[in-house]
Amino acid sequence: MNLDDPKLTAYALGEFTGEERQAIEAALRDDPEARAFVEETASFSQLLCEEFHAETPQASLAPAQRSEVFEQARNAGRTVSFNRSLFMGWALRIAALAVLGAAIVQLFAPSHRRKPGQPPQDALALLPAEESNAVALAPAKEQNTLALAATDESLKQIAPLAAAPKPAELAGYDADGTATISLSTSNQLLAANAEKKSVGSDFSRQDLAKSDAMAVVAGNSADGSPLQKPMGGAFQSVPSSTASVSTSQTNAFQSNAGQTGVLQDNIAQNGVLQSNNSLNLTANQSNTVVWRLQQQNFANNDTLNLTTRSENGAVAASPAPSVNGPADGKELSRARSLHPVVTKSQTQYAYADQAASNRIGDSKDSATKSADKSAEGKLAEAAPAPALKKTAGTETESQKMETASHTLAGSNTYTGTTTVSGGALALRGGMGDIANEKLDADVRTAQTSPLPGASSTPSDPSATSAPGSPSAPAAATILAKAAPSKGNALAGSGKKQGKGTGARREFASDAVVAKAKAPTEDKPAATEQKFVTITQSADGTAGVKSPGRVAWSSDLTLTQAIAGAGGLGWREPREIVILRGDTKIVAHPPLIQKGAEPDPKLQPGDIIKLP
Amino acid sequence: MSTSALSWIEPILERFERPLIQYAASIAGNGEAARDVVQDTFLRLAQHGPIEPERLAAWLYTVCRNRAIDIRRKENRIIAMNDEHQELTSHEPTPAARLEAKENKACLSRLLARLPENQREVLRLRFQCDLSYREISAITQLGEGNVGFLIHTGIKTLRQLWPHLLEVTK
Repeated sequence: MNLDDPKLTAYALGEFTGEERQAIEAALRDDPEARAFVEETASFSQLLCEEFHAETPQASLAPAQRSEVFEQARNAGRTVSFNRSLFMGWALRIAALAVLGAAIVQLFAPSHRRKPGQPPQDALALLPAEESNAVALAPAKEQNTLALAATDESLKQIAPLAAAPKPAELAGYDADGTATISLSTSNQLLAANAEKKSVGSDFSRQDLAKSDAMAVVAGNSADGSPLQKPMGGAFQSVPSSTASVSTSQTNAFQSNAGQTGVLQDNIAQNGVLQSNNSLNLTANQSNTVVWRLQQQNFANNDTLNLTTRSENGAVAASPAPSVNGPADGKELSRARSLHPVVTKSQTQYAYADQAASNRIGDSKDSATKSADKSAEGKLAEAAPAPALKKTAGTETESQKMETASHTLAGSNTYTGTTTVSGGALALRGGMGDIANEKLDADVRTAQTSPLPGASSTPSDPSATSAPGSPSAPAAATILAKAAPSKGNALAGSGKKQGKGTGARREFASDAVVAKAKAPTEDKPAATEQKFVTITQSADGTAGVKSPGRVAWSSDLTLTQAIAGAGGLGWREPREIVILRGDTKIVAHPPLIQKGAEPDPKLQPGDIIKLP
Repeated sequence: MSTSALSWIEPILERFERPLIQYAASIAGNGEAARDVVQDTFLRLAQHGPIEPERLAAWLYTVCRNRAIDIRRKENRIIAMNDEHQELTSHEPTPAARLEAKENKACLSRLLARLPENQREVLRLRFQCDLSYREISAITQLGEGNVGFLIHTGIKTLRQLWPHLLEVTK
């Protein structure tokens, strides 16, 4: 049994009867230390009793007073007109007024002052001794903040917290201002029911309000029990305010389940932050903290920073906090999730867009994903269905505000339909890593079914395109940049949905179909011959002898192409325009001949327009 | 004086007179005032009529306590004025110093003076007036558990101080 349990004292004083007494006696049978305590308490109580009775003076009522009592008893019941008690009350009041008046007279009449040697009035001796601190104890029943801060031993004993601030009173002291409870080291706070309680228990339902702060300093548990629930209940904050909880030095927080870790379930559970709040939770030094933020709602511009500065303790963040976004959730920028950013000594959570249903290509969105997050989103704002669906592998995704790029790394697998309706899709790295059982068929299909509305422009000359097919301006451009040692193949299969500018290309089976091939520079395929086209004006004054198609090679320049067409006529043009898709390149033959301007290299499909 | 009146109040007065005076003196601090308080307590009992034996002690101590606190409150107002006056005119030892010198002779009194007032009071009610926790709870308006805690804490403190004080006073 706990020797500090008041029940033992009560038992020693014979307060218990019946079952309660039997229960204590049963417990004492197996606890010799408790039995010894009871015996010592009983013995000391007997001594106290004797001392108290010995102190009792032999005073009694005066004979006249006793006679009055007997007279009153005799007249009781038949005398109603005279209220003795009322009379005594008034008599005392009158006497008090008389004494007060005498005091006033004494104060203003020097001749009536007490002379040296005259004994002081008895009443003065009734004042509490200076060391008793009775004055400080007097208000303890209501607000004993003073008692809490006291260092005097007697105050600490009396301060127990019958008198402690009630759990709900912290903010109530000064709701509009700053309320702070600061407990210094080694205070012993005792609860009214005689059970030692840790500091935190007394504030377990504390709601912190605007600008409140609660500091729990180490060592505030004289009985060795850990601090518990440093701040329970809902964390409530008002717009545009900051509230914080900080703990320092070797506080051990324990959950109800007795697991390691602790600022859980009590601090940020079911809380609601409105706009522009900042919730900062910090644990310093040697604390082992598991942050668990459940059902926490955040809204626009709210931030949550969980910082664990650990020199000796562990930094843990498990499980990943579950944080709800705002109720509407209509815009991606408001669909929040938390992701850890673990630095050398800190674990911080900062906003990032939610992994699911991201829109990529919308410049106002941003996304940062951690590893092993599934991605199921749209590659275009107008795409009708999720496009990239990752089912395995790791992924690193980065989307910048302006460029809206989506970068995948590692081994990824995508299923489902992918729609690209705008922007640029860049495939970098070894394309041999991309595999799909339908790829070959798709490539073949692509060779015979050029995609209007989109132009594939591989940087490698081994790529294949359908020559000479006038197509609508591409709304989406696929750029394949393969490793130098490998070839790329870009192909698409599916339905045409292009409608001029902004047409979409939808792949029926797989989103991006690309397959790496073995290096083909030594063996260019025979079917891969490409051309450039030379046109000229009707009068032909500055034209070539044989306009039309010229076979393209990788080193073909403008001068070589003109020479291949029979060379220029009698008049050399000042400038020649090369049309390359939507791009217009202007070359100047006189400058090229002088070496003042490079001889431009041509690309398949280029159209050279002579004046 | 009727015999019946004496038959019911006299034994009560004989039994509770001195303990009540001692208790009242611990609150009001003045022996004469304490006797007035106790007389008024018995006058109220006489006016009220007989009370069930199991409720009698709590009733008497409750009335006595309330009256003593009233007296102390009124006396303190006058004391405050006299205190101010004394600071201007008297160079004698303070009443507290006189009281302390006197208390040096009384071991228990010195120990009790170190306790908070509510602990002193419940200890006195328990060991001097032989009242139960329940009766003390009714008199002081404290919870029964709180009474137990105060007594437990008071005894614990006295047990710690007692040997030391005895050694010092030898």
